[in-house]
Formats: sequence, C-alpha cells, structure tokens
Amino acid sequence: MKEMRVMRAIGDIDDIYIDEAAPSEKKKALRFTAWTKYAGIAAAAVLVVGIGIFVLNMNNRIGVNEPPQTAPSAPTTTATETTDEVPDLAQAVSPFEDYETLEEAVKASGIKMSVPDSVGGFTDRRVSVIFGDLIDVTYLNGSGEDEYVIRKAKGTDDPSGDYNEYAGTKEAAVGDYKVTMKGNGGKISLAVWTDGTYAYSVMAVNSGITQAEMEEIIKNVK
Amino acid sequence: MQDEQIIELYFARNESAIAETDIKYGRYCLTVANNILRSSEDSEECKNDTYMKTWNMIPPKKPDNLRAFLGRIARNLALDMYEKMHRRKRDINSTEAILDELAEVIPDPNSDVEKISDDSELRGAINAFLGTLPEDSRKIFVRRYWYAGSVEEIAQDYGFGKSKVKMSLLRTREKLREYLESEGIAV
Repeated sequence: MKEMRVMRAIGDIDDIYIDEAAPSEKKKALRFTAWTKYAGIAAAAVLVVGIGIFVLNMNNRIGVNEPPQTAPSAPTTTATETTDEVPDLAQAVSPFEDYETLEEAVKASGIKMSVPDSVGGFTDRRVSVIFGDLIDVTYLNGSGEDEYVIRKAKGTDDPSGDYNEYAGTKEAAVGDYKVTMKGNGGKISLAVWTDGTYAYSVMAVNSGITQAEMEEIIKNVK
Repeated sequence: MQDEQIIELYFARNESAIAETDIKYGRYCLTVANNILRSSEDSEECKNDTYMKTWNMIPPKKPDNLRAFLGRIARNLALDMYEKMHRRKRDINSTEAILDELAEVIPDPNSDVEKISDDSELRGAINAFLGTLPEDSRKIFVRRYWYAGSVEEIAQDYGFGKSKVKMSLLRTREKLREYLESEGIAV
C-alpha cells in the first residue's frame, strides 16, 4: 500500500524535526493551573512511579517474570541509584486527566459538580480532573480555544490558577455565597467562592463579562 | 539522568538502563504508539517491545538523540502492529484517516516520472522537502504524520484553531506532492 510506504518513509526524517514537533506533556496553558499548589504532589507522584518501576524491576530480577534471554541476569542497581535523580516533571507526569463527560469526571474524582450546559453561548467543552481533587470544565469557542473555565476543588483555596493582576476587586452576594470578583474596566474576568468544603471559580478567559452575566453563571454552578 | 549516562548503562549491559529509559521516556514512547494504535494495552506492549529492541541495538548503536531513537523504534513497531491488526480488520479509524490523507501526496502515476523510486530516494526527498517549509507548517506536518497526532491535539498544543491546522496540512500535502513530482519521485 503506497500510503504506508510514504508513512514509513516519513519515519526516517531528521532527528531535529522529530524533536521540534514533540508533543508537550501538559494539555493546556500553564497560567491556568494552580501549579505551585500541585508541584509538591507531582514530585511525590514521580517518586511513587520511580519506586514502582524499581519494584517491578526487582520483581523481574528475582524471577517473578522470566527475563528475556538477551537481558543480563545480575542485578547491579540499588533503590538509591534508581531514584537519586527526580526526572523532569513535565516529561514524567501530566496533572490533567481528560474525561468524555462531566459524569465520568465526577465518578473519578468523587466531587459532585453541576455546571450550565452553555456558557456565553458556548456548549463545546473539555472536562479534566487535575490530580484527582479538582474538576475543570473548559468551554471552547469555534476555534477550539478556551473561553470560560469553571473549576471546583476540595478545600477552600482559590482553585482558578489565574494569577493575573486585575485592577478591580469586589465582593458580591450571590445566593448564599460571598463571591470575590476580579476584573478590569468594570468587567469581571474571575469569580471565586467557597461553601466551606469546596472552592469554586469561574474564569472568562478572553474578555471580561458584566457582573449580571457572571452571577447568572455562578447560580448554575454547584 | 542524562541521555549519555543512560546510554552508558546500555553499553555496560546494566539492566537499569531500561528502568531509566522508562522513567525519562516511557510516556513519550506510549504517546507515539498510542497515537497510531489508539489502545492503551497495545501501546503498552509496543513500549515494552521498544525497550527490548533498544536493549538489543545498543550497543553497537550509539544514538546521538536517544528520544528520537526510541520514538522511531516505537513508531515502526506500532505501524507493524497496525498493519497486522488491519489485516484482522480491526477498527483503527484515526490512523486510516492519516493514511488516506497521505494518499494525496502520492504523485500522479501519469506524470513524467521514469521509475518507481527506492526507499532511500523517497526518504531523502521528504527530508529535503521538510527543510524548505516554514517552521510552523513543518511542526504541524510532523505532528500529524510522524506522531500521528489528531488535529484537535495539534491545535491545542500549538495554540492554533483547528481550521488553521487542517488548512496548513492540506497546503503542505499539496506542496509535497508537487515537490516529489518535480524531483521525479514515484511511489
């Protein structure tokens, strides 16, 4: 089959082209992640993976699985040698786990959540769980870019991961909650609140919205 | 661990070479395989086969670029597996779509080419062609046809719209077909 011949031939392109197009491990822009909060967990996860690999490796050596004939039989490493250097986080762990539906993300994280079907007229969305304790629902525009991000996380810390400096900050009562709203030029770009057990955030990524529009979204996030 | 140190472990026939490779490049190999196979179980098998093949190849081989070396092996093994599965009529639509797209770059058999070119000529021509492309177009092309990435993934990763990615791929395929024809390469 000729297409397969072309596909195989493409396999032999120069290394520099393979490198420059290598997929990034993270699935979205860093500025939207509460990176500092999760960096410690990521390092721990790397260590667990490292130890897991080491244990598997040891199992192989003690004959739990028969080693391949070409492999050497004498063990030569120790645990400290295997884990003495923490690998690049970006290469080893992706904090995002994507799900087809919100229901699946709820099941995976154990966090109950409901969000509007449509935000700002956008219905296409991507649902992720970040390190098991934060659900991120991102509404995408027609070009597949992020428009609105709604998050819910265990705890009371701001889960938005939005560290932009905004000119205006105010508190507003929406239903039973006291919501902190931030934005520029009278518009709201970020809203954050907590019910004491969970923290919530709504972010308008590309342009701010009115307070009334933001309140309408907040009322439909549970 | 540095790539040079990992390669030294292979040369020393030290089995931890495989564990270190897995820590550093395991996810990379899985991504390359899974983009073609779309099955985590098969990709896992492909990844493990990649390590065995690497173990058997180094030494005598001493790769300059370990990541690309592993990726190339994983990709070839995944394509082998894909072909085997395809014969068993298993459903791997996304890779089929990529192959359909590549059919567009095959020069018209009626065009003025003298003979079917050998593999090395075809490889050389594709490599030379990539060097003529602007960086963005080249990265999009390689992500689609080397890494077998989906249009959605590519758009998200590079921050382009999906339509821009599709348009770029279409133009690059067209240019590649013209380039192969102008070089007298037949597939």
